[in-house]
Amino acid sequence: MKTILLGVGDLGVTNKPGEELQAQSLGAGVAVIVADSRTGCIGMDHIALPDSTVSLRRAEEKPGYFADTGIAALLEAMKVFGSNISEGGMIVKLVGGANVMDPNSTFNIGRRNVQAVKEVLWKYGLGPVAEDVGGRVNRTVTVESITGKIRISAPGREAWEL
Amino acid sequence: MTIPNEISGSINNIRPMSQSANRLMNIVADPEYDCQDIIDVVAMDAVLTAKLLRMVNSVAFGLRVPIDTVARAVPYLGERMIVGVSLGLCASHLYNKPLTGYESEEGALWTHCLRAAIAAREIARYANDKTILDVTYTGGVMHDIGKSVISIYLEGSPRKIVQGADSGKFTDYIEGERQILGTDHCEVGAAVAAHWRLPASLTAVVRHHHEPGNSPQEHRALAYAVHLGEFVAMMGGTGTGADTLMYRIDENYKDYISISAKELELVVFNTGQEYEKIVSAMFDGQETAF
Ligand SMILES: [Fe+2]
Repeated sequence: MKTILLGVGDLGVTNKPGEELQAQSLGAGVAVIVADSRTGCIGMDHIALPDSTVSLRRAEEKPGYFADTGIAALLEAMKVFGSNISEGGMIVKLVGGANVMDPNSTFNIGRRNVQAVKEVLWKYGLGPVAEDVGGRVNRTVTVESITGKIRISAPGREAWEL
Repeated sequence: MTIPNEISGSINNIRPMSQSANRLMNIVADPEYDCQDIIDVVAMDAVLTAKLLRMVNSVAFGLRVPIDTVARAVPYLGERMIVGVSLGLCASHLYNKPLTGYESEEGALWTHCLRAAIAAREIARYANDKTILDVTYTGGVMHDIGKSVISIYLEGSPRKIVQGADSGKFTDYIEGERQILGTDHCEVGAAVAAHWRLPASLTAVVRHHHEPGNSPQEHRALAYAVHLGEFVAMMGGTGTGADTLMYRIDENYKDYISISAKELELVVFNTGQEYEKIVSAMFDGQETAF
């Protein structure tokens, strides 16, 4: 299996058998995973923050960094592989968004990330069919092309599937 | 709590910090230090100088003309970074070994401390007391040093602690450490700091970074800044190992640090940018940073 590593803010797409996409140590970041059940194409975006107003320059260089710019860029990148949301069959899953329980609700960026991602997805008429988010878990996620199989691991825990 | 004898023994066996590291630490503990003092210390240490120059001349900085003196490296690396990286180099025997008691990989304690240091400095901009600005960085570098000592005594325990914290048996990883060892990485870290004769402010940060409210009043803002800086590092995915994110935030930070949700996002962003630049400079074309 060839593993394509997606750093923070990177997005990746593949439809090649024997390839997988991986986002490591998500922390409060969110991996948005889109699998096209018609074509076997998979895409993933490693999002760090909800909102690109933090750095419009960064959003231009790396739209995948923010929820509000990343999902559009991911869907656009998947179009090149023949995936189109208007034709249906897109399966969305979310992983990450570890949350810090701050009663002042300043440090709960994980939760804000997940919320922001969902709001953008809803605009496209999409929504996650499964999610492994929140909690005090520093997840690493791997998605296999064609099968769309998702593996999650975190230090101090047995790996699991979603 | 008191530190069990066996662990005290290992603390006493830790080599003293190099003379350069000790002097750097004392320089930055003074809020009115002069950058020239830092340059002088580093420039007299050939090994440190060589390593810092290799960093600043790495592709990450994209300089066309090579930098050949410490003084000329300052504008690019920044004086804080020079101090932080120097301390890491001087204590690399502690920072870089894999910590089985945390299921952490080689170098993970160092990258966690480095990212927490950058974040703590960013957070400190929002502190009511601005005099803590420069010490926060060094405090961040040192804050988790106790982990390198207790790790070996926690061998075989991380999964039990993680399960305990998930099920609510422990409120956090610290409580797990205490249950198993009768001490924790804060108390032991403070003993290491004392062994090294670090300035009182830094010893206090190491001691209280998970319960900053217990810090002596004069170092409390500093302890809160490092406390929050560590959370920012973990939220960015840069923890030590199994303990990552398994801590409680002290909500009373708001009495010392006035930061909005949007400002925190900016802190997270700036920290990530600076961290990635430094890490790529340290690891550029070398097997390891040290
Ligand atoms: Fe800690």
